[in-house]
Order: sequence, then structure tokens, then C-alpha cells
Amino acid sequence: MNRISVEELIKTTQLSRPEIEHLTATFNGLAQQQSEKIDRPRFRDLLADTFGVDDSLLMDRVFRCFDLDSDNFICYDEFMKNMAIFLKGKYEEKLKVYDLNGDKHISKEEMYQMLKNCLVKGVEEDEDGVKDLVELILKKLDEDRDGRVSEMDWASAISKETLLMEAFGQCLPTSAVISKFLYNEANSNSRSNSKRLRSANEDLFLPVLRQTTIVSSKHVHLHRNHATHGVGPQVAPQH
Amino acid sequence: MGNSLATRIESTNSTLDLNATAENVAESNNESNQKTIHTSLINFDILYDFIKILEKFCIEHHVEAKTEFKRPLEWSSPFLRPNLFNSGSVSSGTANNGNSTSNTQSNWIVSNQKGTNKSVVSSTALKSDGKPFFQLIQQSIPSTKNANNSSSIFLARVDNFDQLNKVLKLADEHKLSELQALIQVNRDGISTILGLPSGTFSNNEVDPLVIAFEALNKDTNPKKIEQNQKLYKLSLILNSYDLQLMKTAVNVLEREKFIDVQKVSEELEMLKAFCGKDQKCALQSIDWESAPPWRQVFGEICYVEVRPMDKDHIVITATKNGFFINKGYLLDEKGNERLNYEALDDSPVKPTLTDLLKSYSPHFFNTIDKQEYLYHPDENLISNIGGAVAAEGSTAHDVLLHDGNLTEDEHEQGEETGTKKNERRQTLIVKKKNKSLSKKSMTEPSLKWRALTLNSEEAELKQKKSAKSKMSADQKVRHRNSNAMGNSDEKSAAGGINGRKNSDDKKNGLNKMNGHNFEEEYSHSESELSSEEELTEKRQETSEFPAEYYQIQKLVKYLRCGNQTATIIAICSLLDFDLSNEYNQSAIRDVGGLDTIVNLLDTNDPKCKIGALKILKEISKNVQIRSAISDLDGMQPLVELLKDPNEELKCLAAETIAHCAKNSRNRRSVRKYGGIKKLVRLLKVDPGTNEEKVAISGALALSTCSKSAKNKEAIRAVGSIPLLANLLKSQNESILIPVVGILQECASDENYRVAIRSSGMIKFLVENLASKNEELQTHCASAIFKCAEDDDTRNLVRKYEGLTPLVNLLDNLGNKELLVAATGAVWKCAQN
Repeated sequence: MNRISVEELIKTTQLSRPEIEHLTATFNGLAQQQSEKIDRPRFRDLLADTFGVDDSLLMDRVFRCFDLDSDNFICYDEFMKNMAIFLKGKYEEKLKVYDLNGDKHISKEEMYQMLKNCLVKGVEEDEDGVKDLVELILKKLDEDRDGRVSEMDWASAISKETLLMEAFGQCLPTSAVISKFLYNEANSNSRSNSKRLRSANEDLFLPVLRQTTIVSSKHVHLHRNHATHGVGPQVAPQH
Repeated sequence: MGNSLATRIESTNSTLDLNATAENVAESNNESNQKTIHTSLINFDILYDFIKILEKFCIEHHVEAKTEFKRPLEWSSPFLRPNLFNSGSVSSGTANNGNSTSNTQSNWIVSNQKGTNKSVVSSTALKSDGKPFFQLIQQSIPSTKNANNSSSIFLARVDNFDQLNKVLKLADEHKLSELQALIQVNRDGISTILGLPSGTFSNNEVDPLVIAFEALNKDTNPKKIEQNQKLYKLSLILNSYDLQLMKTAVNVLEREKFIDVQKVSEELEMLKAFCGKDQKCALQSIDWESAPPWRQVFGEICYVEVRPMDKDHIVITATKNGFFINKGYLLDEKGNERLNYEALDDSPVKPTLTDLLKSYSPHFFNTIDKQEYLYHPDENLISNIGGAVAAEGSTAHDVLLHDGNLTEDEHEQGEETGTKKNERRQTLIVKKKNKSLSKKSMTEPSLKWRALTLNSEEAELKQKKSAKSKMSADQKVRHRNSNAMGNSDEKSAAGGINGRKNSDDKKNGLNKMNGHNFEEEYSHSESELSSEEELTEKRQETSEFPAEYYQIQKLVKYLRCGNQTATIIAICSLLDFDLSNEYNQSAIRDVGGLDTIVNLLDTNDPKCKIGALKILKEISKNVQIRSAISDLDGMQPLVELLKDPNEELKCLAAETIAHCAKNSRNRRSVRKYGGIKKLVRLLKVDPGTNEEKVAISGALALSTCSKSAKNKEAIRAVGSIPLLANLLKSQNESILIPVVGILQECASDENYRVAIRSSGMIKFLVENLASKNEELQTHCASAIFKCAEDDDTRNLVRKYEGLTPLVNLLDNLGNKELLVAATGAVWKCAQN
């Protein structure tokens, strides 16, 4: 299978060449020999070990976001494009992780689903507590007051308070983990690089906004097409 | 003229009614037609206050106190007996049928009708219609066996407050019970006194004063008009007393919300008075021991051992949230008695000890409301733990009371409210004074524990006081040292003294020469901080909690028992509150949020840490929160965060330290944990770059830290001077202000002055005098003021043309601080 070229990736994502090289190495380490794809358990291991995601539901969510063609495997292209978003994308793109039913909105039910485990057992009125939390988030995030969180709501609320990014559960990597993942393992002189990353992030902050929203909608299209056309025919030839 | 007295009684009556109603809502109502007043601390307080007010009223408004009531107050007296009225008087005419002997001294006439075997007591003072103001009539109950005094009722009738006061005095220690009986029957006393239809004063719809006014003005008879005016005046005075009584009652009610050591001990003292072997007593015995420190952590206050009349003895745990029965004393394997702290399985948790005992012991339930309040006159000796004095005092006081004339002293006491009353109550009810007092002191946990678990304000205060005295002792020592050094300077050429001391000596000499003691200035800046701590805990006890309190409580709960996600949500929601509001700040502290937030700083999750810091940064603007943070040793995690790679974290931590370090203990901790070095490291940036933000936070923190002398030394020791000089080149005011702030604070130190001069900072200071920002100007002028101690600096100031801007600043009349600094600078420079 033809992999997407490094030049193409540099053009379409915010990854730099050394970063791409490192990610490629990671992919090769994880992928199965014949199919050149990462299966679900392997990917979950990566999430748990490297990024410290510990919620099973969220790990599956991340996997499904990566797995654009819904074939239960992540191929090289998918891995690279999504890693770019996962590691360096803006928060608008990351909403998709929490959108369980893919309607571009997060509804109360979805929130409830995601938050039901976040109160420690033994607290009385557990259910009420979770409902209460849902209400609290909705108050913060739902700016147009339609009872659900849209991409717009999400973007504007998070630009005001970045802490809210993790309001539905922790599955997105922190900057420390990212720099460790991208640089510590790849390069020895991590310090200078982490500094570069930081400044790069700041520079990218605004100009990227428009571009990324376009990218994310494209992803959704792809996702839908594959879903409707069915998975079988595309997977079969690979084996 | 007698009106005012009447008014006073009325007012007290109505308050009592109100409170009695409130009580009845909370407690079970007796099924009898008469509402009874329950045995409780509140009711005791009210009755006690009532008596006090009555006495005060009769003294202050003795004319009004004699105002005649429209209708008399009548009640069946439980304690007044004709023989009481005989005391100290010529014996009454029991032998003469129908005859009576008047007693001029005691104001009472006791007569005994031989035929009916009835006693009648009446006062010598007579009403306008010739009847006595007070009458006590014995009425036998027909059904019971006659000729037996105990089966008869004594009906009392009183027509003015003066008489009422005198009668109650006769009842002595049964005063309160007598009054209780009176109020139970006359639930609407004021209406009776004013001759209004009953219920007027307990009906809340119309202002009773208006009704009273209208009713009293109906009469056209000129004689009656005068009388009515008196009555109305009386009702007005009573109303004001009423409000007063209400206020104290509300204060007491307010305290009911949470249980603390004092409350428990007060209730215990009350119950102790009801103990005895007699069947009438509610309990056989009650005793207690305070909770050991490791149990206080769980909010337990003390353990009460109770022996009820009818059931096995139990041990009750008093906690902050209520009372429950624990498993009691058990023998452990070594044969020692050990208290099992666990709650008995079927034990309910009750808000008061009385409630718990009621549910446990039927006998207690039946008898407790029959217990009478014993009235003991108050004493000044409460503070003296010496018991013998107490005993003497009480007898002396009794005499006073019998005298009928209240001394001035007592009068003053009557006016005192609040704190003293609690003490009073202790002595009042309890006969075993010494024992109870020593017990009371035993129940006070050690300072440390109290501060931690009970959050007792007293304890904090005490700690602060001791800290303060320590500090002042420090200062004294320092003064002595400096004096000694000065002496040695005079005596010898300071041959054996090392260089460091030498410079100190020089400084001393210099200071003396200029007539300006810098040592004093230090102590000034330090006493400022201790005075800050002294103002702590002025927090008024809010009578009601705003809605936010409960929301904050809920959020803190999620903060504590949720995972990271729930924590983040809770933090974000907390940030939505107005954290600069003092109520919200103390609400967070009171529900235990502060501990949780400080603990969050130790977690691994950077987002949680950022969120926690954001809250902490805001609430640490509050003086009390700052001292609470130092109790929790919050500086340690904050200092640790200063070396975090995450810049946002670093900034927030430094800014939080900047606020917290206004507290002296926090300043000390910052130094102790090596925070000064880390803060100075934050300054290591090039002015004008993005990282300036970090430097600003660092400088802010250092400028508050630099308020104490040891920190100044520490800041210099880690090599901050070149960094500060570097930052002075910046054009950014927000960084200049804290940097110059550090300089002007530190310039009181000789070493700093030399360093400032030699690193060429004078030039920048002079340049910034022309700044637009007044705060910056103030700092600059003040720094020059302190630096211009020596000639070289003064020359430099002149050389850089600093005199003109300094003089220009003198025009600035609006800003006093600026004016002080500029004047000082000009003065110093003028010495050249």
C-alpha cells in the first residue's frame, strides 16, 4: 500500500520532518508485519502507556476517531493525519473525540455517558451528582443555550478557559507528554526542541484556526462516506 | 410615669412569645391546652435576659415601672407562698380572724382568713381604685383533701412592673420558673397590659404599636388620656427592649447551627444541674471527657457518660455534626477499659444532647420539661477558678438581691451581653463550680489540634498572639545586639570584629548620625504585617448563608470525591463565582475546600494544578485565607511548582506566593523551602521577550517577600542584584513596578544600597521618576529616599538630574504615599 509522502504530510499537517520520521518509526513499531496496520489492542496500549488515558470508553473513542474507514485497523495515513491533530491540532478538531454519535454536537446523554464514572463510588446520590456535573458543564459550554454543545460553543468556551478541554474526560495529551513523546524518544537534545515546540505552538495559535476547521470537516466527510459504503470490499484485498 | 415600666414588661413578653413559638415549631408540642416552654438553653437564655431587663427597667425607668396596667397579669404561682412575704417583717396576724398586720419594711400585708384557711398577700402600694398592685390569693381545689396546703393554688395578680420585679425577687432562685409560669399563661402580655383584645401582639399582620396607639386614643376622658399616654410611652419602651431581647435570642439561635466545644459544655452544665438521686431528677449523673487529638480529627469533641434513671448507662459521642451513642467502655485484652468509638448500630444522630437523651430514656423524656431553671445571681468571679471565692461571692450576692436595691455594679452587668452571658450561665446553673470549670478547661484541645480540626478562631488568635510576642522578643534582641555593637564601636577600633559586623556597625553609626533609625524601620514594616494578622477573624458570624454557600459546598464535594474530570469541572465552576467576595472566600474555607485545593497542588495533573492555582491566587487576597494557607503549610507545594517546566504554572504559583507572602509566616516558609532562590531564577530573562511574564510574577512575589529582613538578605545572597538591574532596562511598567518595589524595600539595607549604586541602578531610578505611573514614581522616589543615605548616591542623583523630577513630584498633592516618598528623597538629597 502506498503511503502518503513526507512532503505531502508537511504540507497538510503541522508536523515537522523529524516529527514525521519519529511518528513513522513509532507506527512501524506498532503495526503488524503483513498488513502494515495497527490493531485496536496495540493502539490502546500506546494510549495507555504513553498518553496516560485510562478510561476504556475514551480509548475506544480515540481509536474510532483515528480509524477513519471503520475497518478496526489504523493504517499509516490515518495514523499520521490523526496524530497530527491529536498532538498538535487545535481544540475544535478534538471535539470529535467526545461526539459519540457523530452528529457534530455533544448532547446531554453523551455527556452523561462520559461522566458517569467520574465520581468516586460511595458518594451518596451518585446519579444526581453526575446529572449535576452535566448541568454544570452545559452551563459553561453551551453558549447558545440549545441544550447541547456545538463546535461553535466548544471553540469559544475553550478559548476563554482552556481547562475545559478535558471536561468530558481525559484523553488528550498534555504538552509535557507531547514533547516527551515527540522529542525525548527521537532526539537526545530534547531541551532545545521542547523550547522550539513551545514557540511553534504559540506562533501557530491563530493562523491555524481557519485551516483546521476545514480539515476537520473533511475528516467527517471521509468518515461518513466509508461508513455508508460499507467496510468489507476495502478491507478484503489487503488480506 | 409608670408607663415605661409597663412597656418594658410588655416588650419582653412579646419577645418571649415569639421565641417560645419558634421553639415550639422545632420541638414537640405538649398536648395540653397550655403551650409550655421547653427546657432548653435558648429558653433559659431568654428567661434570664428577661429578668435582667426587668431589673434594669425598674432602675432606669423607675417612674414608668409604676405605671398601672389596664388589666392585671395573672398566673398561678408555683413557688410564691405567703411565708415568703413574712421574711424580715413583723409577723402577720394569723391569730386575728380577718385581721392583718402591715409590714412597712417589706411592703407586703399578709393576712390569713381563719375560717376559710386561706392566705392572702397584698402589696401596700395601692392602685388608683384602692386595690393593691399585687395580690397573692390562696385558692383551694375543691376535689382534693382539704386543709392540706399543697392541694391549693396560689393565684398571683400583678398590676405594674415594679411590683412584678419585687415579687420575682422573693422567688429567689425559683425566679426563672416563676417567670416561666407567668409567661406560659400570659402569652400576649402586652395586650393585657394595654387592655387590648388578646392576641394583638402575636398577630403579625398589623403593627401592634399602631393598634395600641389607636385604641389608647379612643378615650376622650382627659384623666384617661393622661393615663393612656403613659401607657403608650410604656409600650414604646417595651418595644425597644423587645428588639434587644430578640437580638440576643437570634444570636443564640444562630450558634445552634454547628456544635462546638463551648456549646456542648454549656448543654452539659445545664443537664448536670438536673442530676440527682431523686425520682424528680432527669438523670442520675452525667460526666464527660474530652476527645483525644486523634479522634478530634474526625470532628469528635467529647464523650459524655450518662446514667439515666430508668436504663443502663451509656456513653455518647459529641461530634461537630451531632450526638450519637457509641459502643461504650469495653475491656481490652490487657484488662484496661477502652472506649469503643464506633456508633451503636441503632443509635440516631441528634442535634442536641437533650434530644438524644429524650429518645433514649423515657424517664428523661417525661421529666426534662418539668425541670426548673434555677436562678443564681451572677458573679464577677467566673474568671477566677479559685472556688472558695466563688462560694463567698454567691452568698454576698444573695444578700444584695434580698436587699431589693441593685447596686450599680450589678446594673452594669445587666447591660453586658454576649460573651459574659455564657460564662454566667455556667456559674448560674451549676453548683459544683470548681469542678465544672476545671473540666471546661480540660476540654479545650491543644492549640494545634484545634486549629486543624475545630478551626477554632480563638485558638488561631492565641497562636497569633504568641507568634507576635515571639516576634517582638526577636526585635528586642536585635535592638540589644545593635546597641552592643554600637558600644563596642565606641570603645575600640573594632579590631576583633569581623567584616560583616563591621559593616553593621558602620550602618548603626550612620543611622545615628542622620537621626534616622533604620532598625526601627524594619520593625515598622514587620509590625505592619503582624497587625495584619491581628485583624484576622473579624469575620462576622453571618446569620444566614447565601445560596452561593451551598453551591460552593457542593462543588467542593465534587472536587474532593471526583476524578480529574470532575475536579476540572468543579474548578471551572468555582472560578465562575466572584472569588474576590469575602463570603465566597470564607465559604470555600469553611467547607474544607482550601485543604483540597492545596492538596491538588501535589497531584500530577497539570490541568488540576493550574485550576487550583487560579482559585488560590484569587482567594489568597483575603487575609484570613492567607493565614489558613500557612496553617496548611501551603507554601511548600507552591515553591515546588516554581521549578515546573510549565510556564503558566510557574506564573500562577509565583503570583499566588506574591499574595500569600503578605503573611509573615508564609514569608518565612518561602525562605525555608528555598523559594527565594527559585523566585530569583524566574527573573533570569531578557527584557522584552515573551518570557517577561514569568519575570513579572517572580518580581511580584519577591517584592512581597522582601518585606522581612531575613528575606532581603536571602534575596541578595542568591545574586538577584544583576538580574534586577537587567530588568530595570525594560520599558514595560508592569515589570518595572515590582522590580523597583523590591529595590525600595531592600534599600533599607546597607549592602543593597552599595549594590544599587555600584550596579548603576540610580540612573534608571531617576529616569523612571518621570514615568506616568504614580505607583512606579512612588517606588522610585522611595528607593532614592532610602539610597540617598550616602554622599556618592546623592551626587549621582544630582548628576542624572533627578532633583527636578523629585521637586516636581511635590506638586502631586493627591497621592500621599508619593508625597511622603518624594519629600523624603528631597530631604535626603538636600543634606548634600
